[in-house]
Amino acid sequence: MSVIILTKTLNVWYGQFLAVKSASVEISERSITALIGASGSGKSSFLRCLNRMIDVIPKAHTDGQVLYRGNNILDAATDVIALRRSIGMVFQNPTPFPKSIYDNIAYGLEIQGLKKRRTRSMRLFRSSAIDPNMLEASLDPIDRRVVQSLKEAALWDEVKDRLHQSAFGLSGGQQQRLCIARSIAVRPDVLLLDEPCSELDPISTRKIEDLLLDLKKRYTIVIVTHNMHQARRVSDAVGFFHLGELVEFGPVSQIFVEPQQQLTRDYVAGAFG
Amino acid sequence: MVHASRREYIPFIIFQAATIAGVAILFMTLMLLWREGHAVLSWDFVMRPWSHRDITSGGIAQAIIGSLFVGMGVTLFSFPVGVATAVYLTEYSRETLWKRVIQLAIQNLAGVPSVVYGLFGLVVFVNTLKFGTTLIAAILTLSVMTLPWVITASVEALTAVPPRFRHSSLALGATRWQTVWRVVLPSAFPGCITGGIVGIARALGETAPIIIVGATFYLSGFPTSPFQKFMALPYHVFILATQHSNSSAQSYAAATALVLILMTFCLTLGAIIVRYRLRLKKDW
Repeated sequence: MSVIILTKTLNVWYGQFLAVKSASVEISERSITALIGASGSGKSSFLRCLNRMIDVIPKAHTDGQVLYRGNNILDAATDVIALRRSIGMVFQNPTPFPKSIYDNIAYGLEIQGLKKRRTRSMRLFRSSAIDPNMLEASLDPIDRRVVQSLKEAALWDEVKDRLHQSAFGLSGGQQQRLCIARSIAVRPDVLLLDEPCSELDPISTRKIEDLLLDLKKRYTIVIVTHNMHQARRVSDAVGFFHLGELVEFGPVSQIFVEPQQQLTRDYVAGAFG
Repeated sequence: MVHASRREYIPFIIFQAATIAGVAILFMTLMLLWREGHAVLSWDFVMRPWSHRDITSGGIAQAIIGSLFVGMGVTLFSFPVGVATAVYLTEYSRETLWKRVIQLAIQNLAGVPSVVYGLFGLVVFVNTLKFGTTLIAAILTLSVMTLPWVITASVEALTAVPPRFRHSSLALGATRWQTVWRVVLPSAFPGCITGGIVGIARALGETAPIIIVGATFYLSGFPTSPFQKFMALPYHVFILATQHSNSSAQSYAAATALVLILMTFCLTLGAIIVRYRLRLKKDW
């Protein structure tokens, strides 16, 4: 498998505080890479560097290199907008927009300039119901992508009869799968997930894990997780962070079966964290 | 009645009394105006032009039109400028001392007496920009006066939008402007409208500044351009109540005040309906 993202001595500071210390990682294409570690270990900060979402945190700055397909994305000249269209992100809390289910997915496509045919003439009033069969048969590019993304996110059957309703009516697990559908609707190359299941029940978590294993065929996935069992179940490679340091990075079998570092051994054995 | 234990009885009574007093004062004001003015109220009173020599033969049409223009003009000017300022302050400017100074200044401007704005308008719009004492000078003066309300309410509405919406939008590859226009503003708009409503209501009721910058107590026709003088309801009430010798002037003043209240209510009602519909869609 070819390497898609390569970080070299990546440092992240919040003011004077060094949150990620010289992390060097190789992420392979079409695989799931899990980042594990205790709270405050720097794994989320590391993840946010991969699509420059670190930029939105005040006082954060970085140095080192993050090479995405050979280009250093930490470079000031990087087109951040284009980068984030290639490297999508799903957050810890489900974050649907206060829009309908359909519009939540269509949003990412509309901002890229796809024209919406399904205009709501009376925006102030609740938009009318969308017929799922008509939508499935529609040739409109946005309609097609919405249907496709919801199916890929294994959400279509659950929401097809209420596409025009607010996304806030969905359960937490459904909302998180909607966020995944929203991210993959723009056809990214890489999908970053920041503890996507930490607020979900075991059944919803299971659905998301199954979904990730399926999405791996088409996307490169990097997931930050608190849950070691989850990392073990879904990932191909694992990075273990501790107090800002990348202690160990390797195939899932190495980290969980024969870790090279004492710290890793203690952590995966549940001795701390 | 709310079930209140003995210990809670006294605070409960105090709160209830305060509520009743507030509502009662409002109700009594309306009752007094109605008692004084209802005999004069008629379709003719609202539709016919003002007759200065014999007030019983005329109405208050010019004052209504004048106030209507003022209300619409202030809305058209101060609402977009106020919301744009709030967007700049919350979405674009960095957390600097400068930004805090600006916000503090805006909040303090909301407490400046309206007559001071009148003098400001006289210097800036009437004399410096040479608009003269006209409708446009009054609209701009009242807009400047209402801006702090619109800005403060809008800033609060914008900061109440959870940051996670912005982050999600940016993570999808949206530009900052797309995020503001398509995600943040729709969520914050009801709160911005509240600021606008308070602004219009204040502007419509204001007397002192418009006397300084362009309202007049008598006009033979309607203003046909923003560069003419105008009549306005609050000033008309003042003239009738204090300057007119006719014995029925008090009744006419009360009736005019009722029309002013009704007009303010109608102008804000539209905004309230829009806000209500928007709030139906917003449920996080």
